[in-house]
Order: sequence, then structure tokens, then C-alpha cells
Amino acid sequence: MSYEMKALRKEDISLYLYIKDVVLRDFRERSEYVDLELIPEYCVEGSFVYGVAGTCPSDDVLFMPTERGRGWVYFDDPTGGSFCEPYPTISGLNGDGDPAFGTPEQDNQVIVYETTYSGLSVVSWRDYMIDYVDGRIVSTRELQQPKITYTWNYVSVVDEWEHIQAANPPIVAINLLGTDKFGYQLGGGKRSVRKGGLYIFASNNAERNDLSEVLYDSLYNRSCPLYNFPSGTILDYDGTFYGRRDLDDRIPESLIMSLNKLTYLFDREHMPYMSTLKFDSVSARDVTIPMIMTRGRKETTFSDLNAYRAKVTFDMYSFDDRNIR
Amino acid sequence: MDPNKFIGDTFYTIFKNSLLLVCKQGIEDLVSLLLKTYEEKLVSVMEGATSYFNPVLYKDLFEERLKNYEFIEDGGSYIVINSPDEDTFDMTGELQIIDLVINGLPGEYVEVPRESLSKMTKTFTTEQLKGVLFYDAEASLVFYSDTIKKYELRNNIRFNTYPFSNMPPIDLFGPGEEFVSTNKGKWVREATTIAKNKFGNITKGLGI
Repeated sequence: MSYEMKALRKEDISLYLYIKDVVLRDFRERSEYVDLELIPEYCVEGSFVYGVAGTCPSDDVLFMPTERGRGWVYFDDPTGGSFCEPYPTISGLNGDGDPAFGTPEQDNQVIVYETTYSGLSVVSWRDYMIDYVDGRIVSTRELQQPKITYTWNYVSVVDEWEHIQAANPPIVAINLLGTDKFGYQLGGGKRSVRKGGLYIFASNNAERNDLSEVLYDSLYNRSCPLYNFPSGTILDYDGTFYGRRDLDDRIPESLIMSLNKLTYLFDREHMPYMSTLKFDSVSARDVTIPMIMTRGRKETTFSDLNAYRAKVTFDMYSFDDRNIR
Repeated sequence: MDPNKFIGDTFYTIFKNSLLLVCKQGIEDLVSLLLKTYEEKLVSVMEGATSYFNPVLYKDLFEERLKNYEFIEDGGSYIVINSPDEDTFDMTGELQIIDLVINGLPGEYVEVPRESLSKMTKTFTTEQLKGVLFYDAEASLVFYSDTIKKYELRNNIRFNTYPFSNMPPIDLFGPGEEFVSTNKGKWVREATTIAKNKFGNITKGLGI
């Protein structure tokens, strides 16, 4: 039996990607020339797995870039300014090998080097795959004293409340509550309205206010694309860019050197006969947890997660004409 | 007196009083709905659980504040029907625990009785004892950190997990807002019918 994601799930994922890849794209950090270490327990013949050495990226940042909801950045910097879809859409094949318009895997957000007699040299992207979630490099050959420069998401974006405590602040939790569907015109068609909230957990007041304003502005009088995901989401179950792992199976060995990143694009096809996701009744509020002992009373202190909170609530709606096409 | 003005003023007064009457009945239904929502979304979660902060303990206070809430704002030439929300409803005092719950509480918290907490605060530094939310109450909500787990092991005790730990936000007032938004048109129609009948009775025989 074939099974396709339903519209609600596509809405959830589209909103998640909009918040993570578009709205919070200024909240990114870059770590340069970090040592990579071989992880022997994950290696098999012809596959060498490397991870970033050390624990935290710097003395100022006391959490891992690979905590839940963060991860390495998989698209190059967008060129579309403040558009709701700023990433370039180009023609090629999607992760399943079907013709598509979409966005290729990054070229300059993650760069792997190895040490040669003449210094550091860039390793060809054809020689390795990237696990963007866990921050690992899977190489087809052993690399000599490898190093990596990578960009990572500073704000953790999670779509389940239970995942909040799996990361350190700043965190943005997306919580979509109820769904109602109404008619909106004579004849068929539906207007689907969902109530939602973005819950911000920051590490200080300034960060909370920044995030609160950025998120508010990203929803007020804005809309975001509703993707159809014909070949799934951007990353595969193992954290690699979807289609990258299967590329070698699709492309004959003689053509391997001629392949490029247009052969496994993230397909930006929109949901047919449905509108974009529009936002209404946007409201931002700080959440002050009540009856907390103030810092003046020495015997108590705030919980880290609950100290600086805010929420941006909204109604998200879309028009669905699929039953009258 | 200008007869048109007389008719206009009379009908306006009758209509406004009718609308207030209908709305008051609607508000009673709204209060019942909010209490039912409180029961369903907060009290029922605690079924079978023991807690110092059981929402049932605060239900009477919630009901009392609901009854004191200014649902109808009479602006003279207009009336506004308010439905309580987190911004306008008085969640101060003991109801702050309910405010905490409806905003969602990430992380696992345990209820530490006052005696245990005072022992802890002598033993632990503020950094070790994170997330003490209530101090003056019979118990406090303390983040269930490794420090607390070790304390439990050493003292052979087990604190109750706060049942609303890791619970996403709860929409306590949403159904009320929806109720007002759905019914306000109906209330105006009902008030119009009542006012029309009353006006007809008053002006019967006047040739209006």
C-alpha cells in the first residue's frame, strides 16, 4: 500500500523549515579549522566516520552544535533577501532522481580539509557525505589529519515539547494546537485554521527580546510556502542530504566524476491546489513564571530553561481546493 | 419633544437592556464552560496522582475570580463583551501555579516538601539546586537534577514527580473566546427580538 504524508504533516514540516532555515538564518555560528577525529566503532571497510574533536565550540558557547534542534547548516546562504522563500530554486533532479526544481546541498557551509605536505587542502565533496544532525563526516577513504570548517544553527528549533529539555537555550519550540476547517466560498473548498505558538526559551533578556521580535516579524503580515515533499524532507533518516547516499547507485561509475549537486536537489514543489500558509492574530508576550523566588533570596534560583521565556501565538490558515479540482 | 428622537431613545434603551439581559445569561453559560474546561484540562490530569499542587485545590478561587471578572463593559453608547484570557484574567496569588501550568512546563520537576527543602538549602549551593519555583508553599517544585537524584538515594526517599512536568501549554481560555465569538451574533438577534416585542407593547395604541 502506498502511503503519502497528509496535508497537516506537510504544514507542520513546512512551518518548521520556514522557522529554522528562513527566519532564524541570522542566528548561525561558524567554527573554523576544527580537528576531526576518526570514530573507529562506526567505521566499516571503505567507510571512515569522523566526528568533531572536543566538546563545545568555544568558551562562550557551552553547548554542542549537534544538540537536538540545532545541527549543521545544509543550504548555502540564500540570495533572496527578505522573501519568504529566499533560497534559489534551480532545475535538476530530486533525491529520488525525478525532474524537479529545488535547492542543492550546500557548497561552502561545511568544508573538509586534510593535511598534505603542502599544507591544508580541501577534500572533494564527492569523497564524503555529511551527517548534518550528528555532525559527522562519512568518507570513502582515510583522511590525513582532517580538519573542518562548518556553520551551525545557534538556536535549537524543536517541534515537540518533550524535546525542549534535550537542548540548552536558546530554544524555539513550535506547538500547533487545534485545527478547524471551514467553508470559504460558494461551492467546494476548505479554509483550514490552526492555532499555534512559538515558545522561546532564552538564556538572557536580550536574547529573548531579539528572538521574540524576529519571530513576530516573520509571521505578522507574512506567509510561508506549503511544500509537497514529493521526495521527503531535506535530510534522510541518517542525517545526510536526501538522495546523496543513493547517488552512487543511480549514476554509473563511469559518470561519477561528472555528477554534480543538481542530481539530488531538495524539491521545492508546493502543495497543488492549496494556498501558502498565512498567519493571522499574531501576538507576542513574555512569559514570566510566577512565584519564583527572586534572585535576591539567596537560597533559591531560577531554572535555566524557565528563566527567560516568551511566546508568539498565531493563527495559521490555508485554503484547500483539492476537492474541486 | 421630537417624536423621532423619543422613539429612537426609547428603542435604544429597550434594546440595550435586552442585550445586557441576554448577555448576562450567555455569561453564565460561559462561566460554566470555563469551569468545565478547568475540570477537563487540569483536574482530570491529576486522577490517581498525589500532589501538593493539585488544581482541584485552586478551583474555588478560579471560580470566584471568574465571577468577579468584568465580562460586560458598559461604555454608555456601546457594550463590550470580554472573554477572559491570560492577559486580562487575574492569575496572581495562588492561581500563579495554574498560570505556570497553562504556559507549559518543560523539564521534569519534583515536589519537595518544605522540611526537605530547608535541609537541602543548607547543603546545596544555589547552582546545584536549580528550579525552585515555590518557597512559601507547603512544597516547592524543584528541577529533577542529578543533585536531587543523589539526595534521594542518600536519604532513601522518593519525591513525587510533578504531574504537569514536561507538559505543553494548555489552552484554558480558548474555548471561552470561541464561545463568545460564536454566540455574539445570536445574542444580538435574541436581544433585537425581545426589544421589538417590548417596544411594540409600549407603543401599542400610540399609532407608531
